[in-house]
Amino acid sequence: MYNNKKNSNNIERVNRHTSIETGIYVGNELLRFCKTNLFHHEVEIFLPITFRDMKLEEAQRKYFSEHRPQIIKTNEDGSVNFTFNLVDKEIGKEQLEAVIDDFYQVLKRFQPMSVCLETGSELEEPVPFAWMEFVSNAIDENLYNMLTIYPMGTKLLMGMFNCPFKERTKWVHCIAQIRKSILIRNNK
Amino acid sequence: MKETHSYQELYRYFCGMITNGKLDELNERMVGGIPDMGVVRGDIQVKLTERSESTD
Repeated sequence: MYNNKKNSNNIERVNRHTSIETGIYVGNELLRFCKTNLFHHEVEIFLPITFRDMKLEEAQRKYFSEHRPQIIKTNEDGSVNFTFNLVDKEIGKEQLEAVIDDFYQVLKRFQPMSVCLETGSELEEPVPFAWMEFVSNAIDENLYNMLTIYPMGTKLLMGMFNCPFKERTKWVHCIAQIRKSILIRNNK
Repeated sequence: MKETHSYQELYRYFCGMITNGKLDELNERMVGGIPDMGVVRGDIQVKLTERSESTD
């Protein structure tokens, strides 16, 4: 009886927090969000308040490539990341899905052990985007990755989320809300 | 002269070799955005696979 009441309170608590405005539960932690400006205020997106910029030495440990992301926002222990790149490449919204398909081919070539879970697009959003979720193999564990691309006039914005694979289900709803919270100021 | 390299350095070198060249900036950024490590602190813990022994 006591356990039933406790479970129903938990469900109610989670159901009350399902948006960027109310905060979102990820596991037992209630994440609050703040507006974050990126790339000299060209991009605005809501990210968890507790996330910080990853230090260079941490980024070098986590991303071996010299082409590591330009912006890395991370949680306290560096295991969950939102990263962003702005690339000079003009891509129309009708090409987004094809670009994701190309990414998948490149991914399989360079990381043959990675597994694509799903791809999709939301082309009717105020800022249209396409995405791909996949599992990659880091040295120490398997990681869940969600790549999202947004056209930005003559540039392309790439947002990547990653977390330990075993934690992915906690984050799915949260990522869906975050990627829709984006605002692009100068879309030329 | 003998040089000593950590496992991490060798792995980085290997990753660098297989991801070098032929990619345009877009794809380089995509591949470079995939983490090579789950954690950012401490040493790499190499997990040993347990040997399974057949009962046959």
